[in-house]
Amino acid sequence: MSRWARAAYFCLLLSACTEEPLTSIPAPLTGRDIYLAKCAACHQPDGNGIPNICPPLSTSPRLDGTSDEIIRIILLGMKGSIVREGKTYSGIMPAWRFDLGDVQIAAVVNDVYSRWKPGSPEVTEEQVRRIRDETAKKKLFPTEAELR
Amino acid sequence: MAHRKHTDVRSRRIALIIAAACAAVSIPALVVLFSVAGRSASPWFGQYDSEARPAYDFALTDQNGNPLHLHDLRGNVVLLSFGFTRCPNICPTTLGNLAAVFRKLSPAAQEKVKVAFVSVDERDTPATMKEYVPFFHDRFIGLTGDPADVGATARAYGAFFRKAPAVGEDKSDYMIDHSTYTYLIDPDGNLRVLYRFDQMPENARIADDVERALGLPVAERQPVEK
Repeated sequence: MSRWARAAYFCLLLSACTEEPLTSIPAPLTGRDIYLAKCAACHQPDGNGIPNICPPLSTSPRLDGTSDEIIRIILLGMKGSIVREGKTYSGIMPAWRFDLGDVQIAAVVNDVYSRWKPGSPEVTEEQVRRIRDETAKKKLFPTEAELR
Repeated sequence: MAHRKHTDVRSRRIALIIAAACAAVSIPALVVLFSVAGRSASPWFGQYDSEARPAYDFALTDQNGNPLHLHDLRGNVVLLSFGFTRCPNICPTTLGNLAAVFRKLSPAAQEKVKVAFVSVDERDTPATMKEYVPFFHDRFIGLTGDPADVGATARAYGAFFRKAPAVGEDKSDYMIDHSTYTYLIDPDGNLRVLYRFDQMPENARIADDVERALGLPVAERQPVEK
């Protein structure tokens, strides 16, 4: 290798230097991290929701039901008015199937349960995967009636 | 001997090309690095541009079917984003976060802030936007327009979008790949701050920037409990 080629190679090495190695793996996100990043803008950090837009999650009757339904909503999203305790909410729930993996969805649902319905059965990655497969051809943003 | 000289010249040329390529990569990287370092003392949360650059004066149509130019919003901070109403998660998350930012502002500040969402999807109409934007806040503005006007607006702001191939048999059922930045335009119509999508959950810090852009005192806000 000539002197010029060596200099160029050194330059190439320098340009590849970054503050962190490109191969570093980000720390795993906890369910709470995911909740704060993806859910809290609407559901709020305390789960109390937003008047007229997003019903409270902390007291949601869905927490008493099957976790399959919650996972289905996270994967498909939801829109259309819903009524809780006499109040109407007309927001939209994003569909997270393209953005969150099975492990992440299980983690966030388990975090929600741990805060607002402790003692609920643990949601597993396998359960999320099964529902992801079942809903693969369903249309996004169903209404509450269409979810049933 | 002649062969060796020829090889040296060739390897020197190759080395010069590689060195030029390295410089092309390294110099902008260093500029970015220094500007990031210089920004660390900046009070702005988003990527702030200290140079006053007039934001593109778009001419689009709001959700009520009325024409709207950017200059109609002069005197307000405008938070502008691009997307489409069938977007599964990026757009509703961005708008949900912008609604959260809006709610964190004082009533006086809210009066001086306009949140505008430009659809880059030709399937979206004023009627679609009229149904969609109130999902997030009834004071948000949903903008559509002639594809040429929408395209010109997106290009002027450096936003990118393209129609993704339809997956199923229904060719009208497609997604749109699009960039995810949110732009803060100051009351004088200058493009001042840029937010990446991953910055959007930091609602309080964006609200601080909005108040700063309005020249209002930045309110004290409670940190989110982890």
